[in-house]
Amino acid sequence: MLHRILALSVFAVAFTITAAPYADEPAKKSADKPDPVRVCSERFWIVSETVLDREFNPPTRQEMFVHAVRSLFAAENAEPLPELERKVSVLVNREQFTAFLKDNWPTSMVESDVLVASFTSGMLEGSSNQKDQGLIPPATAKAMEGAAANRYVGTGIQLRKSAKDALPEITVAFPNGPARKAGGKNGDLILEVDGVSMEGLTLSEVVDRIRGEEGTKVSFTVRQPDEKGTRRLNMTRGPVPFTTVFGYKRISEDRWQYRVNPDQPIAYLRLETILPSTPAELRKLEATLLDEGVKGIVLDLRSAGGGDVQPALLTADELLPGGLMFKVQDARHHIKEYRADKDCIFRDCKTVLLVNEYTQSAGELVAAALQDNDRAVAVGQATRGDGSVISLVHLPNDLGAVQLRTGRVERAKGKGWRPITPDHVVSLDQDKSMSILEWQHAQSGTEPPGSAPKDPPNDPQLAKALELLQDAVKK
Amino acid sequence: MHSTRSRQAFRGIVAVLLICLPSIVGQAADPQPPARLRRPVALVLAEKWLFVANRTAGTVSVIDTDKGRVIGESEVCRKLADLAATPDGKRLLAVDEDAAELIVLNRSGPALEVAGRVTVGQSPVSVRPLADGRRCTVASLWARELAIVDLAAQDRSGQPSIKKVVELPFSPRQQIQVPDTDKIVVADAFGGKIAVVDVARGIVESVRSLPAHQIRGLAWDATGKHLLISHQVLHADAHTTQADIHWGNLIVNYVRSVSRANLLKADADLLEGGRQLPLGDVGHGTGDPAGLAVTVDGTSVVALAGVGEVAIRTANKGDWAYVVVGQRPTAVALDAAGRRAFVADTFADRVTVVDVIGKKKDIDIVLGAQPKLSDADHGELLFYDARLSHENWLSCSSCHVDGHTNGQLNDNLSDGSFGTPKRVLSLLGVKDTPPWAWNGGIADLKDQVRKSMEITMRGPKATDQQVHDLEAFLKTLVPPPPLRAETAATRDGLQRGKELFRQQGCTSCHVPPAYTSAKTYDVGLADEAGTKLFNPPSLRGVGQAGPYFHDNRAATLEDVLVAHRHQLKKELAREELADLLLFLRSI
Repeated sequence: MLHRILALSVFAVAFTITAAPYADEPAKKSADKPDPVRVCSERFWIVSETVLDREFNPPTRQEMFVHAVRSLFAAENAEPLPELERKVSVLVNREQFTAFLKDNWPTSMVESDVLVASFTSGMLEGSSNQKDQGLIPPATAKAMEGAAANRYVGTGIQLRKSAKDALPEITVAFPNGPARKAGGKNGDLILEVDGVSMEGLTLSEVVDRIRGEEGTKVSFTVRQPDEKGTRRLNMTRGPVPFTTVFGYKRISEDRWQYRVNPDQPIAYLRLETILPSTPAELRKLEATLLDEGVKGIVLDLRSAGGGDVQPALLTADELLPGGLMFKVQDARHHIKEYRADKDCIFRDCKTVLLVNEYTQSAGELVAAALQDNDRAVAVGQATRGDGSVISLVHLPNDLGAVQLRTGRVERAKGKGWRPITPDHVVSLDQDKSMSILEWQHAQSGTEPPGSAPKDPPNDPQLAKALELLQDAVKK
Repeated sequence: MHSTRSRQAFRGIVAVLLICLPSIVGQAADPQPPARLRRPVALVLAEKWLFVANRTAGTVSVIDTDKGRVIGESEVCRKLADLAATPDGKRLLAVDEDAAELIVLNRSGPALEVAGRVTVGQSPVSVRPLADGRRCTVASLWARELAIVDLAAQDRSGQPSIKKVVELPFSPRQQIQVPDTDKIVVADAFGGKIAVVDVARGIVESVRSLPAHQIRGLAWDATGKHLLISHQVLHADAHTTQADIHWGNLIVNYVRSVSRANLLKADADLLEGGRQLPLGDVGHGTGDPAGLAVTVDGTSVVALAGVGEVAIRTANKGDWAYVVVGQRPTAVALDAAGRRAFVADTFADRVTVVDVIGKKKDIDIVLGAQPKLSDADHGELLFYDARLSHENWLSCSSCHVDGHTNGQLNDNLSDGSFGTPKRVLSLLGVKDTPPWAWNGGIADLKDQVRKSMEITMRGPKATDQQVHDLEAFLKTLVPPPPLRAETAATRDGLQRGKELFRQQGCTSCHVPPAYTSAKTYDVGLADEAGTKLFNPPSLRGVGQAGPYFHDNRAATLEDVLVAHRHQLKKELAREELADLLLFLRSI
């Protein structure tokens, strides 16, 4: 259960993006089909060049080739080639790899499309490529990039569909999205998209129908599970800005209570994820909160995941009055130091960070930068990140993209990377963690309907943070 | 010292300009002001008359604010950069940017009369009378100095006189007195430096840097405890992507407050106890904030020059409200009650009256007809237009401030990759320095213009006409004058420096007269992507630029030669270094 809720939150943005496995455009006539050996050899060369160039600790080209060929033979249940490793290890240039593929191409009944797909998915097995992701098709890469920039274009929904469900369900219609604005509700079942029935389609087939370019129109026919009547949602696909900074308690759709205790000038800010929009959200909040006399900040980064290095450094920079934030070592082992400028929001506010084992990627980087510069003390549980930088790397020739480990973060203090050890460790049992998460997700509006808790949970980590801020805000 | 300047510029007969006599004004048919480019940049409200300084025309237009129309216009000088009134309102002070003069005008009702003149440092751009009414200070952009002028001398000897010239470590523009003190805050015209000058002692008391550039507005808040500063911030770590521009990560436009106490304490951190209020919102950029004024109840009015709007924040609380006024609002004057704001729209050649309470535009007052614009004139409008960028966050001038440079680093794709921020180059004299970009990769200036518009500013696709006009405008930009022109006292040293420049082989890359060349060279510097070949930036006006090198690693010219020993063939003796610097600052 804990993991289910986490998955909902962390991948809220990405959820509608995970979709179609890499598939080549089906050729119209078989005569148009390109030679599969040529396709595989070209694809292998481009991908292996990219991996060798960008990956932090890349496999050898030969290792990648061995994986690809194994996968190729597995596709038709053929015996693997004898002494494959030895034979491949002597290949050097592109011509030799191509010749090897040509000489050993399976002569079988399996469609060449399937063989190409198997070869392609095998290629990345030995790299740092994220599990099961393989080659990312261009449209998905574009959507992922849009989401990473918080410039996701679509209908603004999160979908769920299991194999046994007949229809896809809108688990969340996001507050700023076209679907919500058109009257979509959490829990709606989608019967039709543009008049086409969704019954029995796979999730990726549904997503393909829903996805489209900015400014184009799409309509859903939906109904609530317990209602008979259907509703029609007419929408124009557009940007769906996701909020990344939340308050303590939602008062209405666009109003928040930021103070945990109304009589204490301490604001609670929770970063659910860190995107390029986060600094702008924080800047805007600063103006409001300082007007209201806030003197201390609890920055809740528990379960804050997602986000690249770039938004992490922009966010940390915004919160720091200078200093080294962190260093990033890239694939060529160049080390780049990232320093904050003198500008700093909430400059005169004492700040406490909340972290836990689910404080990941950008969230963990921001926490590390603030802790290392003594900008904030950390309360909670130790984080678990390994300091990897995962990047979406585009491939030439419209091949799409791959997600690779392209670098390693080194903390500003000490050597290399180490997870965050809170200055004040406050552990939580499973039940408490669960009720805190449920509360948080109910506030951010990503909770499935009907399960929203009404009262704030007992939160010993937050209580510790408020205790640490007591003295600072009294002055 | 400065005897040439402190000597009063005696002009024989002081030209008397009696203008807008009530009898003329009262006539039924107003004389039609001639068609010309006026370019209003400063406003002074005295009684019911609004005096408008027209920079390009060198004239002052007079508006009767009750009637809401122009009642006269008088020729004052060649290039009228600023206008201010003494506290009693009896005198107006004007500065001529071209002739490097301060002009004192006596005012009687709407009528102005030239009463005296004095020569000041090159390119005076602002003038502020002190509260005592006996002195004023004039900031000279390229001379990098602040002249302290004795206005009372006028009564004694017929002309104002220079009491002292204070050298500044940056090019100044905006200035404001710290109330109830003898101190003036002077702000950097391009970057983010702030100096406090003690006028009584004639010294620079402190120089501090804000994370800022293009400081264009200074005003005290209603309590007098905080100085409000309108400016921009360029983030070197942000990328020139549509997303970073959209979210306000690349350029942020601010009104920042700095505490009076910290300003007056030379070693205090100016940022402590201050606030920064962002202007604009996601999807609503506010490129190039400019003139700033505050009403008695603390309502701030800021001209947003790049987007043709003014921002109003009532009683120092809540969100900004935005009022569309026109093309390029740069200066704001408020009536005594703080109900009406008069806004100078520089490119529209008009004054717009804004209802501060109702937060809406009231009327436009046209200063006169405009002639047909040249291609370069059109290019100038585009250069200062933030509407050419994605969601109006920045104009060309946001980084290349007035064609020069904000001295900051920007991470754009002109070198082909992100992660390699580089110093913004000055465009003054750009037509003589092909090829362009740090890597010298652009042979046609038009290509650079298009590239900047589309992949740095991320605006709508540039039209051929826009690119043509912008290029025409860029070709009108001349290099800044030398920081220190040759004088009799420096002639010998300067000649020795020039010879050293040649002997050290500097001229093989920095070839006179443009002090650059077409090739790229490895001079032992590399960027984050390992690029080592750079096109040598032109050294014309190099004393006016800085910091130096592609990544601003050298703060001063001395650092370039001493700390970095930039391409020196042999060690320089101390005297040689002094001579070489003398020469560099003279080109």
